[in-house]
Amino acid sequence: MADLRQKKTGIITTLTVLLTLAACASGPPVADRSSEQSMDPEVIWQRADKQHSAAIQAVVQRQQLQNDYAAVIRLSRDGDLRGLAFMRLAEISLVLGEYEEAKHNLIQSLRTGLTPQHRSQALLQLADLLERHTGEQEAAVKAYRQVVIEYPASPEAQLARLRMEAIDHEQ
Amino acid sequence: MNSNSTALRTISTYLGIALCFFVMAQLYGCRSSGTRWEEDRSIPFSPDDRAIAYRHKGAIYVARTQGDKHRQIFDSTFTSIVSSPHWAPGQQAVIFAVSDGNPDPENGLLTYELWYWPAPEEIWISDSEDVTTDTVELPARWRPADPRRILTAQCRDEMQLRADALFTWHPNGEQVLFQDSDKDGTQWVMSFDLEKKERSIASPVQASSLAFSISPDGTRLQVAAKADGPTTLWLGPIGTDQDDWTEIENTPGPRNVPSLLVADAPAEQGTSFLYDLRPRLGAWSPDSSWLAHTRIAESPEEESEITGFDLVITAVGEETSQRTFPMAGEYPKDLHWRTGGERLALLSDNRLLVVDPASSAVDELSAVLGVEQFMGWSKPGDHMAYLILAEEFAQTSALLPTGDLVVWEPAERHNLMIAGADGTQPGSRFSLMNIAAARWGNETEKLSFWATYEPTVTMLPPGDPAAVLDLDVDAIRWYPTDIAEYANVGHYYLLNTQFDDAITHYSDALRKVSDADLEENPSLRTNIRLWRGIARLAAGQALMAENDLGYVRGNVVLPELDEESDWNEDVLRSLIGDRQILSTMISMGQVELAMEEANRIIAEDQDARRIQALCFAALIHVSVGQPALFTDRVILELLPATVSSEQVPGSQADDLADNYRHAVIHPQNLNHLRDSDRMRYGAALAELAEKTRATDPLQANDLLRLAVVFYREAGATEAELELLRLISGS
Repeated sequence: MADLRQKKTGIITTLTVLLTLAACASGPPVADRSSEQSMDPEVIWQRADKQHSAAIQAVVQRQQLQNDYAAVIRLSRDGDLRGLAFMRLAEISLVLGEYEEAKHNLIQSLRTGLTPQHRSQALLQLADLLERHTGEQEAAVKAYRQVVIEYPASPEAQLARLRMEAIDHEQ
Repeated sequence: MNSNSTALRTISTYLGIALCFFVMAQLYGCRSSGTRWEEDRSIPFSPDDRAIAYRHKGAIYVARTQGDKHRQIFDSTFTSIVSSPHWAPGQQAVIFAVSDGNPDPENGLLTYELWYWPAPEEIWISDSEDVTTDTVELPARWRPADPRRILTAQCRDEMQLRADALFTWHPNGEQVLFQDSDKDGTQWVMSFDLEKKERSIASPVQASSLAFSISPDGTRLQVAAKADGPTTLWLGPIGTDQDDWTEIENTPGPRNVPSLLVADAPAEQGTSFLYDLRPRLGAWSPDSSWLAHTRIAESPEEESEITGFDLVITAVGEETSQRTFPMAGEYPKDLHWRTGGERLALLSDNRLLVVDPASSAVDELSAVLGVEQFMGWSKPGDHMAYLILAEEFAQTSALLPTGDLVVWEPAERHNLMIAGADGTQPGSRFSLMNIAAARWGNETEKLSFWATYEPTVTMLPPGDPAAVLDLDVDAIRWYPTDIAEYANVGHYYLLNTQFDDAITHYSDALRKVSDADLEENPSLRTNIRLWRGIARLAAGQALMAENDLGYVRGNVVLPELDEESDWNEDVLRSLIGDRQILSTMISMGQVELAMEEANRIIAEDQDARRIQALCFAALIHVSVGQPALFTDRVILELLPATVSSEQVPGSQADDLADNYRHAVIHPQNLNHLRDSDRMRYGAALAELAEKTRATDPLQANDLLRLAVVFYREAGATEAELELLRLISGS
């Protein structure tokens, strides 16, 4: 079991590194603010050119990452690990703006044997996705409420209550 | 039909599919709606939960939940029908109904008998011995007593027996309530005193269609009745006359139950028949003070127009006092009260709704996931249980040299979720199998259900052994009755990597194989030895495993070959044997073993077996996201072996090569490859084309075109140009 947890930690560490790359591929460079603000096509070109190879590489790595998580889902008998893999796939989809895919993966994660800690996180992520990205306010409230019902004493429940209140105020 | 071959769909089915490797979301079909008639498959616990009794394949079985093999106490003949058994409240006996299934030619009524089986004291012994293992046996001298017939009555249809709708114990354990019918077909609820052997009328409600249930404290009955008019729901004290009874509903809503649609009832039986009555009965609160039933919000005659229903709670004893909760959605099912009676919950449109009658608050649990079955709360009240569908994975498939397509796809499986009494901290306590008819014990935190393993690659013989999950000691106990069920228990242990237990159950299954079984299914023994061989291999018992797997290879049943088939029979036999082993390993979750076995075959053989094993290796690579390894396998091993094969007939070799050529250049694969690898594949393909040109110039050109794609993707224009010139002959 200890080996397995180490494996999970390793996967998550790898994920963090690769997700950063993926985020770089889909988002603008953050280091050079003056370059970012420039309207000079030459400057923009140079900025893009500098990032091009890394971004392409990140896309390839992202695809491999998706393959790896899909493999974990298919092969593992550990329900928590399978659920984590779905959560990571959702995270990638979210970065790419593929919200329906992210939603699908989060729902799939909830169908696995996630531990309470991970399950409450998955629920909260799903609620956030429904609220902010797919415009499903009613479904979002349901998901927030599920966090509160299932894990009333968790930090996720505290956040869910406040977000539900905020939604209520908006309406 | 061979168990494995059924899943290997012939390529003809898939004509038009250009690529054999693809991913596809597998969506489960829509659920049909409407009132359904339930065939009861529950596994009732004895009142103290130390034993179970259940109907299975026309027989009645009894077993201790502490761990034991079950005992058959009654076996119906081929023509008779048997109901579910009912434990006496004092657990001194079990009763069940039996009918020969032959309706009276004059009035169409069916005679049935109630049988009484005295449960001996020995059945409880294992508890006093403090035994916790699964292998304990009852004393060798113990034999179940013979059941005896206690009464004969008439009913309208065998479905009343199958659905367990005809009789029940009075909670005092001294009487049995049952349905009887006069010669005109009018039905009554009767009471039978076991000691005095006297019958009396239990309810004044009589109708051609009738269903009833008794309150937990034994004072009242509810009766659903339908004659010429609408269905009505009645409530009253047992044994009293009409004046003391109240009609509490004239449009009781049906609750959805699995199995047979009402519409499936034979047309000639008409609307007066009782098919949909039992689901209309209400649910008693545990203290008998409340009855919850559903009311159709719209006309009961126009079921398709119903958009909602009311949940109605009646105060028992003050029948005019009702509270109504309008609910949206489909007909509800699985209506259960919490032990203290302060909450009740139901399923509607797979939504788990919890109602607080005091505050009228309705909460939805598991709101983002559909719930398949709700089992209610455990008697101690600490937990609730429900089923959700397990997650899915993407479908993949691979073409084999024989033209068969092996498909690796998700199968329907459940997670048995156990949550706190308020729905808190839900967690999966049983998974990887399909679960049916789950129910809680009467006193303890035990659940009984049927469990089937649905394979992901191969087809398996159907079998769903009974099981008891004991949450207190975190143990599962199985009660298989036949070979397929023993094998299914073996599958459970194999999937959960408890290989020794898997081997034991497969061996038990093997010991039960008779000549008659083999006559019915010639490959039965081969299949079981295949599963046991895999378990042995996984357990590190290589020699024993080889013994089993060798038997499988030696006993392959060849399909009928086309007269014009170019396949050598010995080669084909070897291929089928390998295919059974490899696909079953994958299906049983032993993917690493499958890859090891495929590699062993690849190293051992030079032609068709090697090619097929490469196909399986390629399937595994593509399924677990290894595009470079997949492409290596195809370009460096599979294509060279295929174009030079002497054993795979020409047209099938061409199809195979064509299929895998397309697969490697599918964007989902090609985009994952490095330029250096693309260059390597281009060069390898060009070299293979050169070797092939003399014998098969068309194939050689196809290989060159493939090489061109790799060079182009790698940006190697010079190399691409050179090959294009070769292809064009310039």
